[in-house]
Amino acid sequence: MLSSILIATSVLAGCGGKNENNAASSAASGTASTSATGTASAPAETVTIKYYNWDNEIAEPNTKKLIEDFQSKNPGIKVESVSLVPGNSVESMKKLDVMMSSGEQVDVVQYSNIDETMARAAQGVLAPLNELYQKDNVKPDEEYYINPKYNGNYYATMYTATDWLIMLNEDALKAAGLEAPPYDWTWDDFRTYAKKLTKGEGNDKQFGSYFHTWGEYANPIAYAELKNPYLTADMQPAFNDPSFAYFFNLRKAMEKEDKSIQTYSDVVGGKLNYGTEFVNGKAAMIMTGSFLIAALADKAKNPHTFKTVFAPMPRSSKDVEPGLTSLGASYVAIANNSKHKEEAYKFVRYMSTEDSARTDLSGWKKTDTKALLERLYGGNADLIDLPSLTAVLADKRLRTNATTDISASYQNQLKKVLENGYSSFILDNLSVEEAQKRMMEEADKIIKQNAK
Amino acid sequence: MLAKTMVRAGIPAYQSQRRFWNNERKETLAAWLFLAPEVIGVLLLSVFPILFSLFLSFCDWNLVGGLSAIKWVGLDNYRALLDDNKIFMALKNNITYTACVVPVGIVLALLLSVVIHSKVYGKEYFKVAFFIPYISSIVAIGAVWSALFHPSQGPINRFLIGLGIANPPKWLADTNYSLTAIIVIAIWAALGYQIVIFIAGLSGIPEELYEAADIDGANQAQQFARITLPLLGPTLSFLIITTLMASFKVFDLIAFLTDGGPNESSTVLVYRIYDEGFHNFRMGYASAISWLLFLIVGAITLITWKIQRTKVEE
Repeated sequence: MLSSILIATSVLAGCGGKNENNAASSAASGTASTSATGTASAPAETVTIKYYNWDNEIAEPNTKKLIEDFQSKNPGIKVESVSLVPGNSVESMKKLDVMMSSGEQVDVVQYSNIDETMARAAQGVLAPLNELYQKDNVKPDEEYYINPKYNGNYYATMYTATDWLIMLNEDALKAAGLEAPPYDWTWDDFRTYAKKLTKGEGNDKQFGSYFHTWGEYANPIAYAELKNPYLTADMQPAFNDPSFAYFFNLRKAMEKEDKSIQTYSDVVGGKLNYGTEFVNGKAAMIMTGSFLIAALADKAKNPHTFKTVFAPMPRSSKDVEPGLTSLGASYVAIANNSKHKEEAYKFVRYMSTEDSARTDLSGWKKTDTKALLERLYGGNADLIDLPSLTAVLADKRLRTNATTDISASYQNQLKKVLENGYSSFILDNLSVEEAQKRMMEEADKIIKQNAK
Repeated sequence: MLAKTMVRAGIPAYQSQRRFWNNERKETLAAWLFLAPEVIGVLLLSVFPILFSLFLSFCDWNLVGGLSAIKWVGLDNYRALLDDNKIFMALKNNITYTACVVPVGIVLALLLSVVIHSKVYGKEYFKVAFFIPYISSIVAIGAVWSALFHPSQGPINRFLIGLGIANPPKWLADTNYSLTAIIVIAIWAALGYQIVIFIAGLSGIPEELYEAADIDGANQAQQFARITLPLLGPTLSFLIITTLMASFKVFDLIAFLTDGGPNESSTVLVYRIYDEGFHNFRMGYASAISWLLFLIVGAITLITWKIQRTKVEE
């Protein structure tokens, strides 16, 4: 019944959204026609493309600047940015689905993660980009870190990137007499660091590190080094990969033997937050996404006095080439029923390669990351150690093994299997074999269910 | 027949037969017009969604796919229900939760309200003290209790460790005790409401009955069993039915405190509906669970009604 109420409201919301946009588009066409009559002698007609996103008041001026720059370089194209539900990507994407199926003019769309993008690609609402890339002489695999591919076609272009990395509290490092970790460190080194960074007892205890409840923390190796953290190439569950046993045991040893991390039950029971733990100095070192850097720079919201030093994700063993990380991303794609695909492509390409209006890391491999970081965080030298950050993110070895060649629409369910598997391993004292067996069975069920 | 002709006798024949809009029809129309807003509201916001969810429960629908993505799959969703460990877990938890919260909560509330209602100093204070949790937001209650239940720093476990229990339960972070912790909070949070209802019921019992019983030499226990309890019957059955239904629909506490975890140990049916529908986007399956829940709650309500009716007839 809960679900049906939502359906009713979402349908209503969809209608409401449509009306607004009708009004907006008629207004737009009105101005377009007046401008057309005004400049009747102009050789080329102005094409208006519509770009849908969920910009809030902070992101909006940046998008505006991006569009203005684009328009001044491409005089024949006008871009109209529409923020569907400001600040709420999930609702925006839902609304967008209704609009696209109702024949509204949609040209360029933004999606907040790979799963959402792939789901739309599978439904056929996105335009394949192969020809457009080809015409432009762009080889996407050389240009972007992740290229969402479905049935051999490219469907979206990586816009922003979230790199997973390690953040360290410089004060704690100095107090423990440690150097910043090297680029090629391993998870075993990570454990040693955490042990050395742990000090104190009781309420004032400083833990060496912190692991959150998310699947990424149950086995970060799977997210960085496997092609898909949950699935093998033949679409079988990947939970019997030895990295799961290794990392589960590593975390258990850190929790029970070294006591260098908060116990899992305290993390769950105390509803701890990774950002707060680090900013308050309770955890001297955390693995996190680059989205936390902006939070560190925000002195008003997260007051702290120490400087943060950065290190890459540790590798699983000495046999692995360093630089592997887990990459999150947002994507821009072209709607399949867009009438201006060429123009839309120009805009997509421009926004994915242009840095002047960026507030996040770029998904384009050729971006001058150093300059971008300098512009974003140069003013926060007391809190953010720019040299180490640049060394991590601008390193040419930085890459991910994850690929969209192996992916499924039900991955969030598999992630839950991993999270449940870890919690039963650590809370119920299951053996790692038993936990892996259970995860395999659960995942197998989900895969079979979705194969129907 | 005779009566009808007699009634019509007063009205001229041409009026009652020729005019379509006679008084009766006019009044019916007026009644319908007055009822229309409510009827349309109910149809649109209750009946339609309910029927739509019944339809959806026989379909496979990914919420993001739009209406065109609805696919008829027959009984597949219901078959999947039988094969779903999480649903069994949820059902088991729902039953445990109800079996604890309803009797324990009501007995506790009854005893407390009898004590508060009899001559106790500061009974206004107690009334307010017990009622405050009921009017507080569930998020505030949850935040306080999760601090109390904190596995290593919380006062409850500090106390247990002080008593010499080396490994006390980790409560909300424990796969065996998360539901217990939630039950404790739920009983506590609902106590105030039940006490207020009970006290209202107690105030309705005439004082003379107790005086008469006193004169006849009945002791306190006899008075409670022979006067208080029977006269509280309607109040009691009202509370039992409402708490029964509410406890099957429990969601907010669990969503806030544990998200159904750890490892699904505190999941319930409504939480499964939410998880399947809005996290996994399996609207059809979520609808099937909600119909399962609807049938259970409906059956329980019918049974309690039946019992109540036979009692009243006695």
